[in-house]
Parts: sequence; structure tokens; C-alpha cells
Amino acid sequence: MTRNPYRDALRVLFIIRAGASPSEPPIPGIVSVFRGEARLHAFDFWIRNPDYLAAELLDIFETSGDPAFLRAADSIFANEEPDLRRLPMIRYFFGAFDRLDDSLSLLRSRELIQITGLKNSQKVKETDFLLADRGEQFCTMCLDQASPLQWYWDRAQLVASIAGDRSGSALKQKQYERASYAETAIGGIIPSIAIETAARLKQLRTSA
Amino acid sequence: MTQMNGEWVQAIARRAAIDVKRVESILAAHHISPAPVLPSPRRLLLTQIAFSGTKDRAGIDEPFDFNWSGLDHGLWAMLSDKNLRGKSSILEVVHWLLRGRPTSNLQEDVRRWIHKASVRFLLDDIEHEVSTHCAGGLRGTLVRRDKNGKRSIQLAEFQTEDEFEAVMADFFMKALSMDAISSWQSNPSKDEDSGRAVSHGWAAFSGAMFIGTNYETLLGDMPVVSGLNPRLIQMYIGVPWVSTLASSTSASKAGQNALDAQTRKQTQAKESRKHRESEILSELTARRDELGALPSDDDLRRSLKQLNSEFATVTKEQQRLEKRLSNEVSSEEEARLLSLADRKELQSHLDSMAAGSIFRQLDPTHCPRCDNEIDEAKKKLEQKTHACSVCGEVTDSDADAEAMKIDLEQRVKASKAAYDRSAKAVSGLRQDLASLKESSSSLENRIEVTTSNLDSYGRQLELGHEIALLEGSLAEAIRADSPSQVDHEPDEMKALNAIVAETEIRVKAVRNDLFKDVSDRIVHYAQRFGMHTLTEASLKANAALSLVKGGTSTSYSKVTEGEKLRLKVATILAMLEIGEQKGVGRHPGLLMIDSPGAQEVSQADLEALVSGLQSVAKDIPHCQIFVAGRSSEAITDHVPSSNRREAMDGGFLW
Repeated sequence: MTRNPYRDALRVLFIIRAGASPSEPPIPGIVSVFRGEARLHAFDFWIRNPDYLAAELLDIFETSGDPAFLRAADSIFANEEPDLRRLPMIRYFFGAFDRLDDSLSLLRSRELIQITGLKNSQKVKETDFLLADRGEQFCTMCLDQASPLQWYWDRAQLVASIAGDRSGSALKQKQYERASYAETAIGGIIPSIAIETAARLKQLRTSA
Repeated sequence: MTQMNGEWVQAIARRAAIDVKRVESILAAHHISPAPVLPSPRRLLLTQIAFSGTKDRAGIDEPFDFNWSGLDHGLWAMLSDKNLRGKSSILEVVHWLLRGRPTSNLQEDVRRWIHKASVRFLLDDIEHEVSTHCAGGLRGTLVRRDKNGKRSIQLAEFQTEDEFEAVMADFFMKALSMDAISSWQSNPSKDEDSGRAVSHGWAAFSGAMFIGTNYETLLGDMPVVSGLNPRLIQMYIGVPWVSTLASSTSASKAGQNALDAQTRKQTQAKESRKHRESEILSELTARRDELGALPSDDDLRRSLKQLNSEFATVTKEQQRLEKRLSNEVSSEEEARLLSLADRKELQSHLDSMAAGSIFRQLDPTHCPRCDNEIDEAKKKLEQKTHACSVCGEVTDSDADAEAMKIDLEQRVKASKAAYDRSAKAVSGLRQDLASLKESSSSLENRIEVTTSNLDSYGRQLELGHEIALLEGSLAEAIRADSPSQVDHEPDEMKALNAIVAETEIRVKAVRNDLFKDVSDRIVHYAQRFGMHTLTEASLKANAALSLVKGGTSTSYSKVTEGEKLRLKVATILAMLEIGEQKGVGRHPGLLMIDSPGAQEVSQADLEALVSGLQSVAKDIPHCQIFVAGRSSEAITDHVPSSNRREAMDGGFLW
């Protein structure tokens, strides 16, 4: 499968847009700020692994009882997303990880985002991603002109809504546990949990 | 067999279509003897009536001694001016002594008073005397005396009432040649025996000599039983063949009865045998069916071989299909993955195309590597040569992407079709395998059943044994069903019926004329006795008397008591007279009539009645007629005082 840099860059751009919050204080030319690289990776993980996202949705449904989460999980399987939308990743020590440098530099080169970092004794403590006015306009144009990309925006919003206030490391911890449970060797491809999640969905749907 | 009845025997043989000898043996076996000619009649004449004892009237003993001797032929009378003066008792005592048993008319107290009683009578001029002692139990003798009355021969002695009756019956039945032939009496309850033979004895026949005050029956004083009346008539008129007819009819009815009973028994036995037969047959059928349903050992082994071979074929085919299925399933999975990969790639390509076409609208402003701004000259060069303004490589055109998209779409279509084909093949194979498994398990079942049937050989032997036993029982039941010997062979019944028929012809030939004459004479006397409206009478062999009175048909049983007395006397007189005229009279000559005046008989009619009796007594010299009644001129005018015993002014005859 060919990796396409533009598609990956757009996915990252939509994640930043969906997961960002208005900058405080306001910065001229900047719309909002997405905080934390780990968080960015955690969001990306859920978009690239719809089966893990569905499992997370079912967890939330079981806790909250809100049927909207069950419907969302259901729709993921109904659209064969675990098969058609999955972009496998390698598991590293601290969770799923794929370097996003290409995508970020592509966005940076078009001046759609800026990347800043709080530096503490020459070490970056936290990397923030700032959505530029240009980036915001570009997103709007994308959704107007290229309907296939709508899915990425919808999914980024869904992921942002379930991630909530959780920190990047908290999210990654959760994803890491689920992947470890699936017994994947470090350095191997993160395995699919589509089959067991589908079974769990079926069971929950029946008892709901 | 005598020469005289040769014609009769031959007629019977012809009618029954059997051998004469056989007829004769049947006649002998049933004690049927021909009676074409009657033995000459015996005459009975009372010469003395005597009885004595003690009357017990209101506690006062009053001895009495009645003796009436010097009796002879002719009309005699016992008269009193009041009732209950002993008239009837004299008559009843005579009846008692002659019969050997008192009638119900003999009053109990009178019977108790009598201590001694005797009757002397002549039987064809030979004197007899029956005498009894009643005090302290009945005993007595029957004695015959020789002509001069010097020597007596005791014929019989009796110690009990039963013995007395037996002695008198035996004596008179023999003396008067009256065979105590039984008649057949039908039994209304249809049981085993549909009737019984009844013996008509002296008790009944002696009634021909007495007319009491019970007028229920035309003849005699006993209740009518079947077959009695023709024999009673025989006491008055001797119709030849009647005794033969009676005995043969009785034999025929008894034979028929026995035959019927036997037939009934045979029918019952036959039914029960039929029932048994059908039971055995149904059991036999069941066993044969069971045996028939059990296949032979050879058949079983043949079919087992066939089944095993079929099973092997099916199993082989099953293995082949399972292997194919396994291959097909893995190709299906491969096709599925391929199809999925193609679709994923197409999706990815579409996404990338969309993303690419958007991005290309943005020109890079800075180098992504060094963040330096890209100058205008590089941007213009890129528009001219399609070489990247950053790295100089040729940028992709939308046209390439479109071509790739078409290629990808075709791949998706092809791999999907391959997957569908494969899935269809898998499902077809699974169906084939399922049906193969079905036939395999059905074959396994049949093999199991057939194998277990191989063990049924023992049952076959058992059934064969049972069938042989049942066949034996059936044959036995059928053999028992063949008709057994009948006690009364058909030819015997045929002969008996023929005897009855031939005898009846002979009886009727004589009797019809006789009875016609008697009937005419009955009308004559009855009219003389005051039944002026009687115009016709017809006496039947069974002593039924039908009448025409005042132009209306009636019969003896329907007329008044007074008329019955007149008809009774008229009938007896008519029979005595016609019998005498035709030379077939059989009556012993003694006739005792009780109280004719007691019934509604007018003085004139009573006179006519008594004068009729007198004329009969005159016409028939051996007649001796006693009349008991109230004193009246109607009687005294016809009976001389020497022939009378009278109790006048309220006195007693004894």
C-alpha cells in the first residue's frame, strides 16, 4: 500500500484542528493550540486503528450507558472500517508510534501550522501545535471541495470527544494496555482486535 | 308283527322310503304296536256299596253303617229333600274306592268318619271286592271271587294310600285294556328339553264314569293336559289305531325333541369350534406374517455386502469433497484478503487523490527541510517544467492518479468476483458434504439393523416351531368339526313321522264318521234337556266341543254352568249310544252323576235329562247309572223306589 504524504498530513491537520483549544493569550495569526505530541500520537492511533477505537467506545458505553457510543461502534463495523481504514503501526516501548515528521513538515512548509515547544534546560518539555489562520481556511476548503476527506474530519472530532481532558500519556497508557493484552511483541505490528471487539459489540447490542 | 298290519308297515316304509325291516325294528324299538282292532270292552257293574264308622257331630259320636246291596243294571238314585245329607258322599266314596285315591270332592270330615268302606263289583260277571280299613292308617285288599262266591282270591293288598292307588290303577288299566301310554306335553320354557312325556293313568280315565259338580271340562274331572282328551274319548268310543297314534306321536315328538336338543348342542359346539378355529387361524396368520417379515440369512448377507460397498463409496466421496472443501476454503480466504486489500488500496488511493489535489493548490512557501523561503524563480520554473520548486523532482499529475484509480477499481471488481466465486464453491461443497453425511449415516443405520437381523435366526426357528404347533391344532379343530353320529338318524325320524301320518290316516277314516254321528246325537240330547236353541255341535278328537246356538258360533267353555251340565251329560250319552250302535262302545257301563238339580235346570228339563238317562239305560243293557240329587218327581217318576235311597224330612242318607 502506498503511503501518501498528503493524506497523512491532512489527517494530522484535522486531528490538530479537532483537538485544539483557543490559545491563551491570543496569538496573532493563530486560531487554536493542540497541546502535546504524545496526545497527537494517541489521537492518530485511534484514527488508524478503528477496532481499538470501537473497543474504547464500548468501554465508554458500558460506563455511561449512552447508546450513542454503542451506535458509533456499530457503525465502525458496519462500514468495514477495521478492514478498509486500518493503517498498521509498529508497537514501541511506550505505545504505538509512527513518526509524524513528514506530515508535520508538509503542513509547516505550507504555513498551515506552527510547531512550538516549552523548553526546559535545552530539553523540550511539551510540544504544541498551533493551527494557523491559513490552516483553518485550508481545512474549510478541503471539506468543501473533497468529500472523501470528510471521513477524516468526522473521525478526528469523534476521537477528540472521547479523549476529552485525558492527557496524552494517559491515553497512550490505555492503548498500550489493550495492545499488550493482545500479546504483541515489541517491534511487531499492532494486532487487530476486530474479531473480539465485534463479538463484544454483538453481545452488548443484544443485551441493550 | 302280525299279518294284519302288514299293509300299515308297508305304507310306512313307502312313505318314509325305507326298508320294511327297518320300519319294523323302529316300531319295536319305540314299543309302538298296531291296534287296528280293539279288544272287546269290559263291563263294570256295582253290586254293593258299604261303609261304616262314627260321625262326630258337635262332640257327640254317632255310629253309622251304610250298606246298599243288590245293585244291578239300570237307573239308580240317591235323593234327599235337603242339601248336605250324604248323597254326594256315596258317589265320592265309590269314586275313591274304584280310583284308589279320594277326589277333592270327598269332604275331609266325612273321610275321617269312615272307618271301613267296601265296594263289590262285577267285572264281566266276575265278582271283585275292594275293601279298606281306615282307622289307624289306610290298608285293605282287592279280592276276586269265583262264580258262586265261595272262593276268594286276593289280587292285591295295600298298606298305604299310594299303594292303594297303584293297586287300583294297575288292576283297572289292565282289566279295561287301557295302556298307560304317555303323551307328549310341550314345555313352554324353551330349555334343553322342549317338552316331557306325560303318563295318563287310571286317575284320569276313571273320570269317564263320574260326572261331578265341576263342569270345567267336557270329559272327566281332571284338568286338561295335552293328549289326555283323545284317550279319554277312547274310554267311551274305541276308535281303532288311536293308541298306536298316541304312542307313535309321543315317540315322534320325543325323537324330534332329542334331535332338536342335539342339533342345538351341535350348533353350540360347532360355533365354539368355529370360534376356536378362527382364533388359531388369526394367531397362525400373525406368526406366518412375522416369519415372512424376517429375511433369510442369505438375503441378509447379500444386502449387508451391498450396503457396505455403498458405504465405502460414500465415505470415499466424502473424503474427496472434504479435501476439496479445505482447498476451496483457503482459496476463499485468500480471495477475501485479496479483495479486501484491493478495496483498502482503492480507498486509500481515493483519499490520497483528494488530499493531493487539494494540497497541490498550495505552493510551498518555505522549504520543509531548512525553513528558508522559496524564491519566485523556482516557482516559475516549476510551472514550466513540473519540476518541484523544492527538490526538483517531477511532480505527479492528476492524470496519473486518475489512471491508477481506474486500474484499482478494476482490481477491486476482479478480486471481489474471485471471492464470490470461491464463496459460492465453498457453500456448494458444504451442501454436498451435508447430504453425503446424511446418506452415510442412513447407510450406517441400515448396516446396523441388517447386522442385528442376522441374529434373528433363533427367532425364525422358534416361529417355525410355533407355526407347526398351530397348524396341528387347526387341523384337529377342523377334523372335530365334521358331523358326528346323530342318535336319531334321519331315517328314524322319517319313519316315526311316517308312522304318525299313516296311523293318523287310519284313525281319521273311522273317527270322522263316528264323531259326526256323536255330534248329531249331542244336539239331539241337549235339545231334549232344554237347550232348544242349539242347532249344531261338533266334537273334535281333542274333546273340544264347538257349538252353534241361536245361529251364533260358540263353544263348551263359553256357555252357562247349567248348559255345561246338560252338554256334558248329552255328550256322554251320545258317545255311549253311538258306541253301542256302531259296535265300538268301550264304556264299562257305570255312570255316576252328582246333583243335576243343583244347576239351573228347570223341572221339565231335569225330567228330560233323567228320562234321557233312563232311555239310555234301557237301550244299553249293561248300563248302570246313579244319579244324586234333590228329591223331585222328575227323578222319582223315572226311578223306581227299589232303585232309590232317599232321606226325607231333613234326615240323612247315612
